[in-house]
Amino acid sequence: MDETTSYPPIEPSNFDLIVVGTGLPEAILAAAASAAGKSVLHLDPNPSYGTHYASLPLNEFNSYIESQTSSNPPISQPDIDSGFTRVPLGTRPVYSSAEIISYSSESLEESRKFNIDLSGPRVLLCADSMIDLILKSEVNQYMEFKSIDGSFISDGEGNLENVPDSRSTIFKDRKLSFTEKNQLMRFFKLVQGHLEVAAGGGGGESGESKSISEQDLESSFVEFLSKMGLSPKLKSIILYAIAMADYDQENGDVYRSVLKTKDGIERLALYHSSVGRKFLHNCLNLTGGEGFSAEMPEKLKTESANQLIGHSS
Amino acid sequence: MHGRPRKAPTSEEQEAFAIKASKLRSLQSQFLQFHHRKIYTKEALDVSAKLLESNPEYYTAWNYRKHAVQHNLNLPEVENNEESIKSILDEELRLVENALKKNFKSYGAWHHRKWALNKGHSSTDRELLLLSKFQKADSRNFHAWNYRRFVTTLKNIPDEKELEYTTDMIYNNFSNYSAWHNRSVLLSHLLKEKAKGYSPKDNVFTEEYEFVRHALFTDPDDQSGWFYHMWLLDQTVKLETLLVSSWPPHGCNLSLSVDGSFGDCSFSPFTVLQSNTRRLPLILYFSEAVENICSSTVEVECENIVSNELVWRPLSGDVTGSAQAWLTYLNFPEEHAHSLKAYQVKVSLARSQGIFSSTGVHHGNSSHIAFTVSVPLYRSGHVDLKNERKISLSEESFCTHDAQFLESVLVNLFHLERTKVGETVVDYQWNTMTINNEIAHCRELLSTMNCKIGKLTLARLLMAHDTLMSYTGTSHRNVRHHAEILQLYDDLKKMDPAHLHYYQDEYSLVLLKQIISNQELLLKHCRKYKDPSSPRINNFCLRLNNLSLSRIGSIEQLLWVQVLDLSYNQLKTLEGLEVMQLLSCLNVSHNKLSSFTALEPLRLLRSLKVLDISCNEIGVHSIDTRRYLCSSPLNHTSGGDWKPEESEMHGADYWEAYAIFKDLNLIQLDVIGNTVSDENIKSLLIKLLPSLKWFDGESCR
Repeated sequence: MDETTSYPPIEPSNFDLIVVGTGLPEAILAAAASAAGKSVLHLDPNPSYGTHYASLPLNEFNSYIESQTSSNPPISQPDIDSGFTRVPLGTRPVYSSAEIISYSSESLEESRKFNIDLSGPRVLLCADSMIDLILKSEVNQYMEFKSIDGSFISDGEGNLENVPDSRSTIFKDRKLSFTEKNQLMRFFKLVQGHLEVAAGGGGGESGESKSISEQDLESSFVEFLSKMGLSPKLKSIILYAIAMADYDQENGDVYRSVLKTKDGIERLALYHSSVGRKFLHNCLNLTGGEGFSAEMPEKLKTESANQLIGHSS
Repeated sequence: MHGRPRKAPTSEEQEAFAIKASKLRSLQSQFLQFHHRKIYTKEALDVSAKLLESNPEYYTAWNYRKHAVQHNLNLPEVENNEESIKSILDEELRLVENALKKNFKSYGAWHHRKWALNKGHSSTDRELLLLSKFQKADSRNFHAWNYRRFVTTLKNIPDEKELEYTTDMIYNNFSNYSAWHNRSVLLSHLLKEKAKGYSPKDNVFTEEYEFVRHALFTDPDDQSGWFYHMWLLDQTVKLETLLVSSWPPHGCNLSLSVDGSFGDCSFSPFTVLQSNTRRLPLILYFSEAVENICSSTVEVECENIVSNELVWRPLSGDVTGSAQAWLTYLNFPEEHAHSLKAYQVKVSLARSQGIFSSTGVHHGNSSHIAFTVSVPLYRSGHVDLKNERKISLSEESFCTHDAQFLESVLVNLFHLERTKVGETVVDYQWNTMTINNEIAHCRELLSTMNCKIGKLTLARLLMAHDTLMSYTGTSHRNVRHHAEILQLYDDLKKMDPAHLHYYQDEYSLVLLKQIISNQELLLKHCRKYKDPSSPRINNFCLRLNNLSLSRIGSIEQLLWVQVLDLSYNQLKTLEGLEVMQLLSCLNVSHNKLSSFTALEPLRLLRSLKVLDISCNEIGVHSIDTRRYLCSSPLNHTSGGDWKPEESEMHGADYWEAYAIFKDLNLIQLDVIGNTVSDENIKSLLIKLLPSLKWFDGESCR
């Protein structure tokens, strides 16, 4: 912030909190502090708002990437005796070693009509507590939401298939075998039974038999799915399209990122309660602009008007 | 709309109810005044409308509205004025809509709407919109579905389009009995009309099986799909009506013994029949209940018998006149001089010659039965029964040693059974393939999980398979699934005790089928009566005791039985026995017969001489609930000549005893061990049965 001279002086000049960066976490922090009665100064070193959550027109996107790859100047350390407490918010660069290749010799005419999300659209399940936080802090005023119309999973051969995530989508699905339909629905019922027991205090004999054992809950989710006899196809549907695991769960190079059964089940429960929510209408897709990411993300979130696990009779 | 627990009303709610009730009462008395005085003014109509809007269940008010509409339509200023007519009827439609908002399951309201629309003056455009609202609120509301069928007929909406609608509804949530049901209604209609794209029916059903399979596998515990599957199965095994068996059987060589002169110990029920009246019962048994068996549909060729003088009687208590079994008597005249005259009898049923089944399927096959009857020379004097000994059907009266004899009899039975009475003309290849396919899928589903209705369906599929096999004549005994079906019902009895009695009934029927279709098993249940000196009964006895039977079946294979022991079972009814016209001796002691009404099938057994109904539950229950399920003296078809003044006896038990026993010619009867059994009933029965010699083991004459 060497160019302070070009800005008008900020009045008042004393703040309880100065937040640098205008991404989602920073914005929520600022809002929370303000709501708690603190005076807050919210700054951003970048030419546009949003930090990692920004959407940039094509030409600005290029310069953004260039700025990301060049090394950041070190931020000068404030005087130790000035009474400040500095909390570094860990921000990692979104892109590393990016290379810009243009296939068009002249700049695109309509380039201002495109906005690119810096790190793709964010997908949130609408039952996620994050949504409550966003609404409470009123940060949602600066965001756009879009409900997701369809959810697909790649079959590994370049085909996208609908994600069977509820009783009626399993019924409608024509790619799963009859046995797979039966297995998948039974697994959903198992999870539902477990959650019901957990919610109801887990009393009673029938409760015991319905709930998933402690040992299973602590084991890895992928192992549990195998133990339940689910086919590889069903496993990947549950792991990646519903529980939305970030990393490859089966070829476990990254051990720290392997989901435990209890976490997996929590994610299924979140998913389930999200598609059931009518008022926010399904999941929220956070984008900073109208643009859509250039590449189809590996998995998209779903819309389904029905509950994940229906009630029989 | 479903599965919501009912909450107890709070005190405020109760108070509100009380206020509402008093308002309704005052409205109601106001309304009734108008109704009684036949006042149909606007004011009166408003009162009835208000009443119906808060209580759509008040049928009298709907009826009043109809009177009012009729009355007002006939007013001189309204007649021929389309505008006024329309406005009167539109008011009714509006009222119904408001009433339905209050309770969308009000029969009266839905009916009133149909009534108003049927007048033909109102636009039907609103109806589908209204329906979609109701079906959104509760997609299974059968009132709405019912009304939907009415509207689609009214608006001439094609069945194909409605079928698509059911598909959409099922995709939305397949747990919807109403949608599946409507699908079956629409498909039946389309198939019947051979609509484009819905023929041949085999292809349509194959697709439907596949469609419903997705639902069955996705959620086997949801029964709505299984019910549709059951309908499909019914359609698949709905075959043409066949003549299944007869007495005497095809190819049989029978001697009529008029006086017991063939009474050596080796006669078999297939070679000799005792008959004091020189007449032979002829019984035809069909695969389902049929109507119109008479001398013009069945031709009997026999010397000295005029076919069209024969009177055929249905063997059932059914008042509709249809029955699975039909009976006529062949009378052999006495004046023949020959010592032993052999008559060739030929019975023919031509194909589709006016015989109808209750389901409307024509009798499919032309069938022929031929047998020989030898009738002896006329001899005066009947067998003297005075010195008859009491017949005991206890264990020690039978011997099992003479296996060779029994076997010779049974060989006869199985030989006859294999002789087909008619030629199969329909190819059941698709049906067989479909059933086999469904069996495979059902097994696959059950291999990974326990599912009640899945097991029940498998049992039914296996049964259907066996039936189909026996129809097509490709039956091999080793492919029969009896043991597996029995196991399934055994499992179901444990899994689902709420329906124990149903499973028990089905189990009984399969068990009997298993016994009767297997020579070795049947042999174990056959006995020879030890005492050869009694010419009254055939000494060949079928013992089906101690099998926990709750129902009797496979009667078509048992037409030859004369002595039957069904003691120590769980029988609550004797339905089916009415067909066993040769039965002379029956033991049903130690069962669960709970009233004399349960014996009704016996009324048709004119040759029955010995009956043991001891140790049952007759008289235990003061009210016989079965009375409302089956025909009984109370249905006024019998027992009308009951004269209680003849004795001092009152009460239903006596009346029923009278109705059952008055036409029987019993010689021996055991009633002991029933609650009803006392001196009064004893004297009534002895009076009713003049030929009775033994009552409760004691001589009574």
